[in-house]
Amino acid sequence: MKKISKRAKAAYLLLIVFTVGLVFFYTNFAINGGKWALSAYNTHIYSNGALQTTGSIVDRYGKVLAKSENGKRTYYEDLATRKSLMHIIGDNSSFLSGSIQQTYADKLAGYSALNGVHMLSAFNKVSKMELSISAELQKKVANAFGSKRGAVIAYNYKTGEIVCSLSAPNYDPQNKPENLDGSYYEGIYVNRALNGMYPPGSTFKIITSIAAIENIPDIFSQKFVCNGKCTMPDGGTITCSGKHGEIDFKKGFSVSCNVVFANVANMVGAEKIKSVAEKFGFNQNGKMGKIGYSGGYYDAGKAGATNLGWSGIGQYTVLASPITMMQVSGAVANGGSLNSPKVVNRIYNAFGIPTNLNISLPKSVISNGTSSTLNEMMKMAAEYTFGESTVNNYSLRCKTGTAEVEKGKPHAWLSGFMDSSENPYAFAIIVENGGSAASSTRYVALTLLKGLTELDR
Amino acid sequence: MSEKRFKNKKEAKFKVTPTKLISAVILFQLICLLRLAFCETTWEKPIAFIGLGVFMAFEIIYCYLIKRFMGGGGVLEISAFFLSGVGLFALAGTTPSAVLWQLFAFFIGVVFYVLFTLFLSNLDRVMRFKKYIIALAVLLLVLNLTLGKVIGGSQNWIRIGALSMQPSEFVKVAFVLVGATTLEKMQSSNHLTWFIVFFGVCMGSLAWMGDLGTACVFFATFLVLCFLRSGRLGTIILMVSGAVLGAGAMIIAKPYVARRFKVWRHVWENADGLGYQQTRTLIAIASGGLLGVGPGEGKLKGVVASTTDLMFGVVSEEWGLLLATLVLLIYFGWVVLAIKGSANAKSSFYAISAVAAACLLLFQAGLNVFGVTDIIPLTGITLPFVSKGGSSMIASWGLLSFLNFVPRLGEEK
Repeated sequence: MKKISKRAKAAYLLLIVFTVGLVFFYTNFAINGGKWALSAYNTHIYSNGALQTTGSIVDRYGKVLAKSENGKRTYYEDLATRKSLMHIIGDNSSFLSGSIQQTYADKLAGYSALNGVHMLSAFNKVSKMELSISAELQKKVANAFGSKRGAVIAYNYKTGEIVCSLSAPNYDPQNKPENLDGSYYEGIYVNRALNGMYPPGSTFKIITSIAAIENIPDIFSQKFVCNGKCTMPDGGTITCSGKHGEIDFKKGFSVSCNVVFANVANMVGAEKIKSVAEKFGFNQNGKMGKIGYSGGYYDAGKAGATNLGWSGIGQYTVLASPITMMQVSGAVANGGSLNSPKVVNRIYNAFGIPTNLNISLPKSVISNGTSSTLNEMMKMAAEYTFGESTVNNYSLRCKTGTAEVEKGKPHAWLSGFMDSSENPYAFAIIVENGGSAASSTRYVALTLLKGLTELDR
Repeated sequence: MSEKRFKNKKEAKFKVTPTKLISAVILFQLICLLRLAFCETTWEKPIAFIGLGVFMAFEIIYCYLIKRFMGGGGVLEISAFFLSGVGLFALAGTTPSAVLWQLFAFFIGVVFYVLFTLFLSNLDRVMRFKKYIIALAVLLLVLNLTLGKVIGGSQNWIRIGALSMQPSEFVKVAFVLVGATTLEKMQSSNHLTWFIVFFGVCMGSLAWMGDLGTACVFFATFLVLCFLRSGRLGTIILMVSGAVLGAGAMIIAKPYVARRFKVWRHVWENADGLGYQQTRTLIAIASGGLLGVGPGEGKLKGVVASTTDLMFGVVSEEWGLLLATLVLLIYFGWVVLAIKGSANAKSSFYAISAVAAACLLLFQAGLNVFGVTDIIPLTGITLPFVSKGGSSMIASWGLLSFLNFVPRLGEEK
């Protein structure tokens, strides 16, 4: 009898194995529960894989951008606005992986390990997310952008709130087209404003300038000669859009002279440019809340003089996302300190209680002096491109970029900001294969600027 | 010494009596009933409500009778009442029409439990009837093999008119009994040979039917029985290696089993294929959270075998993971009880059978829960007392009878 009860203790082994299994399961549940609950197979939320029931999303003024009613998910009433918001908000499918509806699926559905999706399924109570986007501004910008391909993004450089984010091409999230083939829809699921990686062209000269100002003490007194092109020490040629003759650094920036900046890049060196670029998020991926975005790419460490020169004017292998180029202008505007962008203002739970902290800590990326010098240079550049009256109207500071690409006309860029405490907005615009930056971004830029000045009024 | 006395004092202070226990269970079930009343889908099915009322009345009467005529005890039954209740309430929320049938099985189960306990109380009688029990068990298996219907991939069902049953469930009870008696009289190797032959017949039939889950349960129980009697770890290891080879052969012979193994830990990649049940169960558990979405509000009920194999998921989704965990803790507690009580059992038969039966129940529960949550391959087995199914319910009560013969909580001398 004693023997048996002693042997019976071996059954504790079974208890241990069982406990280990349970602990493993609960750990799994704690870590992946949200993912399980938000799986597209969950019929509490999805129907045949299509998003059906989850929380609502409103813009900065409380306008409903997306909501669920009677098991149907509907989006903003106006078609142009709806389409322009598709990449940020998402649609009923699960292809837009960087969208709010995908990345914040658990918050929207009000998921918690304690309650699961109970709020949603039993009480039909939903959480609400308030974005910093303005639907009205989206509409204006989307109409101005028309059927072009590219992106527009703008944010308040003092708070980090993104007020406009457009990626084109897009489609109506409410009635997703069945056929998304064809060259127009290429890369349709990519949010170009956040994840589009383009050669930044001359907008990158802002970064090269920062590196130059901070590293070459006599940069402003240096003189360069532009004959429409120049030969670099390794025998390569840099071409310029004009013949600028004898020209200094500041003038070179405002007229966007390639010869000046190819030489400046060689004077500064690849490492210093890279270190400035990395302060703005190049060579890394950014994150705003749960939404990831691409920074950019800069590495000219192995480049010869010509390629280093090209890298200084945003060509060679340099890449940047619109959100990054927006932040570059934003930091210059904000006296050198960078507020990281964000698109979600508030997350309210089913009881209307805000559950997120809405704070952002600015980080200093360039010195105050450098930023005011660049402010002045970007004002000159803005006057060169837009004319004095527009610059004065909007306190506009900007830099154009015409980025050569392998196929078709060059991409047209514009990155800039309004130097105004009333309208503290920075922005970036890219028009794919738009050709000349000045002409193809002009109408979009003016519409955006006007829209920004009308915000929060 | 003083520490021990202090401990005893403490235990005395917080003593759990059967009366307190049944009161707690009834209170819990009343709350569940109230919760069900707020649930639209079941309010329209008053029969389910009447069934649950009868069930609760029965619990009270049973405990009263035990107290009145047996002078105590009943902890074991109360814990099984709790489990059966969880199953019945979960059914009332998902498929109210099944409540009465399940309740009927519950009553048969309790009657079986009482009669079987009486039968077990006389060891000589048990020894005399052993051969008939073996014959009956083998007959059931033969019937199963000849008349068996393939349901859900394995041929472990037989259908007589409107009644369908899983004979292998009852064979479990016979198996524990035969195993424990055989090993009780180890002196004769003849007995042992017969037991091993019986084991072989069981395993062979189950393998033939493709019921890997039940085969695993039999094998685990066999190991427990053998170890308790022989105490030889080497033999156990040898048997496990043999079993692994056997399982390998089964996987090769039954492509259905092999496919189940293939999706193991890859259920999300096969979410609409062989990972369907597991992914839906995980989704259901997460959707329910710790507190559940409420009866009738779950979505897992729409999945095939939700109230049998996936009952853990249904309970989690609608009534919460906390309650589902409490269910598991009861099987766990029974094993602890059997281990502790085995020292004071009247005969080694009782000690062995109690430990083996408790381990069987826990092992089966583990196979079920860890299977549907993709921690181990899914085998398709029921959760004792909780899952819908008459055979499973009755057999579970039969197994519980064995636990009656080890002294337990609140009943120690």
